[in-house]
Order: sequence, then C-alpha cells, then structure tokens
Amino acid sequence: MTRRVTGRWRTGAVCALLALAPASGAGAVAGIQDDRLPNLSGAELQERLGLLAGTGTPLTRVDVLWRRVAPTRPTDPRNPDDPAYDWSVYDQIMLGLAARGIRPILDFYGTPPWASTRGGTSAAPPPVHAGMFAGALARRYSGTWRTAGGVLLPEVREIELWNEPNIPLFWRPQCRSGPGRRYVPVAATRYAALADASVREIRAANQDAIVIGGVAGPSGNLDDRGKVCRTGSESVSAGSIIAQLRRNGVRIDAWSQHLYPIGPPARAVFFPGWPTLPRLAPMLDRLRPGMPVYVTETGYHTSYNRYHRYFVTEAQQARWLGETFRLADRTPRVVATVWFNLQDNPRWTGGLLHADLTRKPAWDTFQGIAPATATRTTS
Amino acid sequence: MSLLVSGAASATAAPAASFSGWIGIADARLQRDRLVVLDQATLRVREPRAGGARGPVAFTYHRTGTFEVGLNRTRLRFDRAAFTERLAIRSSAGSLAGGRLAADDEDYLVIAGGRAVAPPVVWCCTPDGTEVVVESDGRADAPRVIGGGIDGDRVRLVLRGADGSVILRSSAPGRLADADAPDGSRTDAVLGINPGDGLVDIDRGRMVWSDDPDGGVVWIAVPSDAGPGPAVAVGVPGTVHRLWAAAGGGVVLTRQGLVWRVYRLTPAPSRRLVWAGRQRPVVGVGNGSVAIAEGRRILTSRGGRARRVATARGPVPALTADGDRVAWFERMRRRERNGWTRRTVARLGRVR
Repeated sequence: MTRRVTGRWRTGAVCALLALAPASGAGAVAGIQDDRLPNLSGAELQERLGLLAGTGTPLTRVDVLWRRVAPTRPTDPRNPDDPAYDWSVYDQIMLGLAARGIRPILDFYGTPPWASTRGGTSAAPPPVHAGMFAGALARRYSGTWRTAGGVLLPEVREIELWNEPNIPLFWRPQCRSGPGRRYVPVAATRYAALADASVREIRAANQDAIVIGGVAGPSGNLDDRGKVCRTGSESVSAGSIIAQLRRNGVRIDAWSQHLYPIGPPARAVFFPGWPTLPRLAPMLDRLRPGMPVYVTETGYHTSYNRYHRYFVTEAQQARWLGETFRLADRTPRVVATVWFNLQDNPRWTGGLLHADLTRKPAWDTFQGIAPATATRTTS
Repeated sequence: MSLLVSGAASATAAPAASFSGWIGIADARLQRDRLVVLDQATLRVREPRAGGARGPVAFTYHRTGTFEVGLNRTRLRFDRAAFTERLAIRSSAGSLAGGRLAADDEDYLVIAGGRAVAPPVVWCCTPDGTEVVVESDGRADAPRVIGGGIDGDRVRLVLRGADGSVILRSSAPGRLADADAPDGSRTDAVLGINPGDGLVDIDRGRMVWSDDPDGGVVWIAVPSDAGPGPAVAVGVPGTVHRLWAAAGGGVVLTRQGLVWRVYRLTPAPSRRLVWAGRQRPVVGVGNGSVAIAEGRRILTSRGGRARRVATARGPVPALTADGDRVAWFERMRRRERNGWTRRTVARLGRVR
C-alpha cells in the first residue's frame, strides 16, 4: 500500500534549503551530548568524560536539572553559595570538560517541587524563580567563582533557557481554548516571561554570556494556525514563541531549534528539518537581525522507541550523521549542531554507542568530522 | 496520519466506522469494548525542487500502527463513526509490512513486520495510555520475533537468533510501574523447534507451531516461562500456510493442490474442517470463533462448518472474530461530485 503525504508543510519546503546563500566560511561547530553525565560522580564521571572526549568532540551540552540543584527553596536564590543549592556534580562536570578542552552549553530545566503547585517537573515555573536560578547558574560558571575548597570554576558562556518548552513532556500547560475555540498558546506567553527574567539575571551575572532561547522541540509546526486546544497538551509552535519574545522585548542572543527529521537530512520536508529551518529566519530577524541558530539536538534512532517513533538502520544513521553536519556547515545562521545522544538507553536509541557501549558505525563518522570544527566560533 | 481518518463523531451508535482511502490492513482484533486495526503503508514524500529545477525531491518511509474505535454498550455497534490513531511506528530502515496483532479483552500487542531489521514489538497500554516497547533492537544480528501473543498477564514471543537458535521470551509489560524500566520478570527458554516465519502463534494458554509446513504437521502445547509443555502433533492434508492459536487448540489454513482448507485443531489430537474452497480466504480467529471471507461472503464458525452471516458490499481485506461477534472491513468506492472516492468501512455482526 502506497500513500502520498500531503499537507500544509509541503509548500516550498525544499525550496528554502536550496535557496540558501553559500556557507559563510565559518561553518558550524559539531558537538555531542551525553545525558548520563549529571547522573554520575567521582571516578565514574571521570571515566565517562574520557569516553565523551574520545569522540573528538569540541562541544557538548549539559542538562542542568534545576530540581536537583535546588531540591529545597533557596533563601538567596541569586547567590550560588546559598545552602539550598547543590552544584557538586556540575562543578565536577565543568572542571572535567575544561580539562579536556570541551566547551559546554548549559541548559537548565526541570521545575523543583517547591516552585509549582503540584510539584511536577514539567509544570511551568514562576518566571522570577527560574530567572534567579539562571542568574545563579551564570554567576557560578562566570569564570570568577570558586568552590568551597577554593577551586576556580571555569567560565561557561552559552546558556540555554529551558528545554523544549513547546512540548508537554517539558512544559505544561501548552495551550488553552479561547473565545470561539481559538487556540491560545499559553506556553509561549509564560516562556517569554521566563526568558525575560532569565536574560536580565544572566547578563547581571556575566556580561559576556550568550543567552540561547527557544530551545524548541520538533513539534508544533511553524505557527499555530488552525490548531484546536482540547487537552492543554497540544504543542505550541516555534513561531508563537518567537512572536511572544518579540512582544515582550526579550533580548536573547541566539535561537535554538531541535531537529529530528523523518527522512534523509536534506530531503526531510516536515517542519522542523534542515530544508525548512530557513523559514525561521525572517521571524528571528524581527528579534534581532541575523540572529544565529543553534541546533542543540538532532539525531537519528537506530531502533524503535516510544519518544520518537521513527528509526533507521545503523548504516543510515552513520551516513545521515555525516549529511547532517555537512548541511549545518552550509546553513549560514547555524553556528553549532549537537548530536543527541552518546549512548542508547531504553528511552532514546539515537546514540553513537549501543546500550552495551559497543560502537555503531556513526561513531567513526562523528570522530571524522567533529575535531576539525574545534577552531570554529559561535560568537 | 489523522488525515486518514474520516467520519464524523456521533453521540449515537454507528453501524459502521470508516477510513478515507483503502488502507493496508495487516491485522485486526475485536476486544471487549473496541476494534483495533493494524495498518501498514509506504509513504512517498514528493516536493518540487527550488527554482524550477527538473524533477521532484522524493523519499520514502514506512509506517505501521494501530487505529481504534470504541463499541457501544451492545458491543455490536460502534460508539462513533471514526477511528482514532493510537500507535505509530515509522522507519526508513525498510518495509514494516506483514505485522500481526495479538490481543486479550483489554490490551494488545503489535508485532511489526519487515525483514530489513528486527521488527519492534509494542504492548498497549498502561492505564494512563502509555505503550511499552517489549522488543526493539536495531543491530544487524539482533534476534527476530517470528511469532507470539498474550497469555494471561504474560507476553510470550518466539525469537530466532542470527545463529538459528529459537527462544521463547516471556515478560509482563502490564505489571511494570515504569514503562521504560527493565522487566525483572523477563525469562528466556531455549526451544528445540524451528518454525517458519509466521508459523508460530500463542494465545491464552495455547501455543501452536509448524516446523514442517510442507509435511502438514502442526504442534499444539501449553506455553510457560520454561517453554512449551508436552506437545501434541496434529496432521493436516496439504501445506500449512498460516496458523492461529485458539481456545481449545488452534486453527490452520492449508493448501492442497487447488483447494484451500481451514481446520480447527485440538490436542486430542483431532482436526475438524471449518471451510474449504478454491480461493484463498481471508481468515480471522478470536476467542473460540473463526471468521472467513470467501470473496464478499462473510462466514463464521463457533465449532462446526462455517456459515454465512453477511455479504460485504466490497472486497474484504481483513476480518476478525471474538466469541459471538465478527468484524470485517470493506473496500468501497463512492461517486461524489468531484469523482470517485475510496473508503475502507468496518462493520460488525453476530457469529452464527
């Protein structure tokens, strides 16, 4: 049985990619994330950092789980040394990455129980609390802060604001039904408030910080036209988030978009994908002309999992990983692309390593690409 | 895939539920309160190139997944006229065609088809609607599921390894507190059998298989975590083409010369002819009943020869039965203002 796919996403999707200007010459930095890092410590963490360094990656992304750092409410939330904060794992990670010459992008999310009515990790947090935590994070890793033992912590300049606020797994509620059953993207409104507070706090902590907003997941399409909010979980579009950031006058430095294409990277015409990514450009220009784009998550799974529901062979993964980073180089606004993830687990099967740590063919492909991008800059 | 589903939801019971288009139905199951369909498709995506360059950008991917529609209190009518998509498995690794569904009254199991990679197996669903991925291994030498089913609260799968060894893997996805957690109750039993692909099935305390389909031998046993118990061989004339585990034994589709036959088997051992004909029938088995589509004629059997219960208004790509009910699908064409449209319509009837 053969069925042809139709729909609104089709219009001009591939045209956009082919109409891109030639590469700026700088190219994008290639990175990889290891989501196990925050779960380890001591020798295990050091071993794991060695494994990450073995990929040759110059860049990684680290999830800073707010609810883990601040399990109880801090009395002085802007102060990284508030006794409620536990940065021990993250200090080890930052020092270990610095020692190995790997630059981190920090991404904070995960609402602590004390910051939401029901205690859910994906509950939309009070923007002021999230902003003050972002400030504490930026201050601790501003290159001027020392641990209790007197160790100077490295500077981390790139900070992402939350993870996939347009997906109910990470942010609830997404929407409500307005007058005339109009779709009201409440996640965009609340996220813009969080971004506003965070940008101010981060800048106060480190003037050189690059604040990356959006961090939009591969859902919700480019805009919210025609959507209906039935359960409150129907995803908000990237376009709505950008529009709300503009309305609030939020001065983020860069946009982050996550791409998990269905089909080969250059042909995947659903939004968001490499061919459709340039559609964001005119919207981002209204936030700030020429705003750079970080693709802080992309990948292909090599077996079925319930979170992405699309998989390819290991040979395809290796081939399409190469294509992904070549496309990133040819896409002028894209300054960094991070493959997610290092190792398979039951929830995520897009790793370069199987769950038993044996290598997939994509490991070699990544190793052949990433080190050469180390000299590129994202600023 | 919501584009696929048509039909307005209605507060009153609907005699039929439909899809727009002729969907590729791999299997279907009637449960106590719903009808589940496993569909499969190859989706071709085509886009014009930029700047008027010749030829489209095109790629293909494959999909299999389930659609569900609820039944009303009589369980002989649908609670609405539209199906809802539940599970979707998508891949560029290769076709996912040839999948099978297993079900009990509440839950079901999707055993995806396909030869390019070991097909995933998904159990649906926890009380909060979460699916559990029972098998998913993308390695080239991963063991492949060749059959299986639901046996009480155990899911039992028969897998063949790259070295030809066959195991019976049992697990309990319905008991997991976390859908992604490893199943501590999982067991593997090495089997001394070698059934062909699709020639092994398990359902509610019965396991049937044939490792000599040309010889017309079907084995019936009671499965357990340790493997099947003592097996009874039942001979059937002709070649075994497909078989189903069923209450009391099994059902087998055979071909001998030009004649197709459906037999009901018991571990007595005995066989009883349900149907014979010269056209390959579409067969559905569930909860002791057998349903057969002979062209457009819908026949059912509770124990003896199959008897006609309805005549479909179009070709029948799939059907299923559950004790005293039968559900079948009709491929319809309807003339509308802008030309002919295709629909796949599901209907319900009583088993005779």
